[in-house]
Amino acid sequence: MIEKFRIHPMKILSSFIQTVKNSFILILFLFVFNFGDVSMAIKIGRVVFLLYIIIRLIFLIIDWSKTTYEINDGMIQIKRGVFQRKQNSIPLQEIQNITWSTPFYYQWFNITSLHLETSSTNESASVQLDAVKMNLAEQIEQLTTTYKTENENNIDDIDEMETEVNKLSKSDIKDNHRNVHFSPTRKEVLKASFLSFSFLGLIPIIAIGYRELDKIVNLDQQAKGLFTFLTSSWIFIVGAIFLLIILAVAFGIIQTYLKYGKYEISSDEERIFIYSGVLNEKVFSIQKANVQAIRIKQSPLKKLLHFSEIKLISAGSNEGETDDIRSLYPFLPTEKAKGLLVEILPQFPLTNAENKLPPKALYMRLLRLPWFWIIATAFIFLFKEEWWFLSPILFVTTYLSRYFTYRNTRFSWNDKSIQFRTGGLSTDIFITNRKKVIEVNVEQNIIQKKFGIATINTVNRVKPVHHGKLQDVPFSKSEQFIKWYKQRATEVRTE
Amino acid sequence: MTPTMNEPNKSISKDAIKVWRITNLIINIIMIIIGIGLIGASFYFDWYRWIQITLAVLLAIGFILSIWDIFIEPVLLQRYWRYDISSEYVQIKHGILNMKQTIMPMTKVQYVTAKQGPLLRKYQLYTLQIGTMSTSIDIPALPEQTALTLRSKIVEYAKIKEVEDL
Repeated sequence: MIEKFRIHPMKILSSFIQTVKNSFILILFLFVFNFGDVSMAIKIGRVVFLLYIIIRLIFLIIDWSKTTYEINDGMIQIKRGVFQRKQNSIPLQEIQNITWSTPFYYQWFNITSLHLETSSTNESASVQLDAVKMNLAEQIEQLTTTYKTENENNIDDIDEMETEVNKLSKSDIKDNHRNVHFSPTRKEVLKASFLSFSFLGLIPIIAIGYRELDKIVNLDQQAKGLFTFLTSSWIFIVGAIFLLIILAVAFGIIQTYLKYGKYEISSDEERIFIYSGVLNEKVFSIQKANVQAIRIKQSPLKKLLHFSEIKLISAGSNEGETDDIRSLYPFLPTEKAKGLLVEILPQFPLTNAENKLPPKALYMRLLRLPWFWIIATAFIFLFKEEWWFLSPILFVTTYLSRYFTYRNTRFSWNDKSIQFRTGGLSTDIFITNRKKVIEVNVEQNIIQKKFGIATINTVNRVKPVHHGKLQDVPFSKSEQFIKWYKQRATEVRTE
Repeated sequence: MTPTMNEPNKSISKDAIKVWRITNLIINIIMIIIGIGLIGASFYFDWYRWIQITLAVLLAIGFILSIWDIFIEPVLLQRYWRYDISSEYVQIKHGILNMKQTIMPMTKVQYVTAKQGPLLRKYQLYTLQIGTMSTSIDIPALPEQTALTLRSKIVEYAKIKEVEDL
């Protein structure tokens, strides 16, 4: 239990900085670009803007003082609002993932920002504690996890004494011991910086910087002068290109280092922890039991260089989310990735899936209308007729990729887990547990029926639902698939 | 083989045909009226020729499809709709041109609702919606008695929850 508390006043400052940051362009416009201009409109604009900033600050202070948090009876209670008091309670055991983000200036004050996510799709279902003392954050994290295990122990009470004893001795051993499983070496960070093409990131920055500067000083003229100077000798050209490459590579390495430099994947009995960030630290923790499924992804380039990425699909994460922290580490050497899986998530075994698709699946796949190609072609001929050559290129790639996807698709299931392996030039492996699947379905259209094939689909409890879909497996396999799923009743424990 | 291993075998009410027929009739009439309106507008405001042709073609296709929607589809849909509810699973299987079979374990069921629109009410039918945390399945057009007993049965079965572990 944690007594009623407010978040750290740093929150006011950081929100205020955020507000100023968001109106950066406006500030530039009002106070810098039109510095000499004292027309009425600009004057009014300045006054209105300052008023807005002051009101915003007052609002932030009031909001901060009126928002309180409290933890008791296994619930987080949040009370907020000035005129309309709003109260929000979230049961601790619903919390699935915890993310700590610590921007570098938070580190000076020993505070962090805590994000607690539940599996519910409801908006009020996640708690954002924008600034809390480190020790309080630790306390909260401890509370959410112990509450869960306590609950489970209660269920076990009903079981026989024997299991109770087992559990006890087990909990003695586990003792919150964290194992570090992976931390990239300097060489691996270097490789990651090339694989992620982060060196290309310099180009948009230069372009935007140039454009913004050009508004103030006439850069174009000077750039022209510089350009004629550079092109006057090939030594200068080579030098300039060389310099640019070095700059870009350095930029990429620094950026990648800031993101993945101090990366670490660790775990204890119950949770997985992902640390990341050099300046702005971020810690993501998830209960192993809450991982619903995993995906192992390889882009063609990663495949070539034997790298892969393991993604955790959990109830608290949004499917399309770009936040990299959901992925264990995007540039794991494939061998290491396999080892990591065995160590931290043994419930998702990566087996050698041996079932292939029947040849009829290929016919089916070739028969499907290539909608993307049709629409793209229509657009090309309507708006950019001179790009006609894109259409046949797209056509060939579409069908080639269909062929390769057909050839590379594998699937299998055993008494606990199921695995789909798809992808043409890239690879995408999906593994989930029968226990974690909340629904399955089998579909068959009239042509698939003629070919004796069907589409199988697993549904996992994620926000929004995650579909593991595999098209065109033999119909007999789809029947076995349903039988396999129905047998889950024998392995699940009920409350 | 336990009984739950079987394919679903219970049918929905025959009145479903009438309900779907009326629904599709109304929808198609509205669509055709909109189509005719658009064609009228295209001539009145003198739109491009190709827009007029496209609209006319679409209307013709819509007309043909409406025959399918009103006379054939409801019959097929009703004839091949199967469901089964046991203490372990909710199962549905429907469609003959596009078959789809869904299985949902009872332990994952979170809620069950019996819904009724004006048309269903006329024939004293209910649609049963059975939902988990994030998905749901509908069993349409069940006779009132069946729907309500099924609902209370599911509520009873669904009380059992699984332990979330590895």
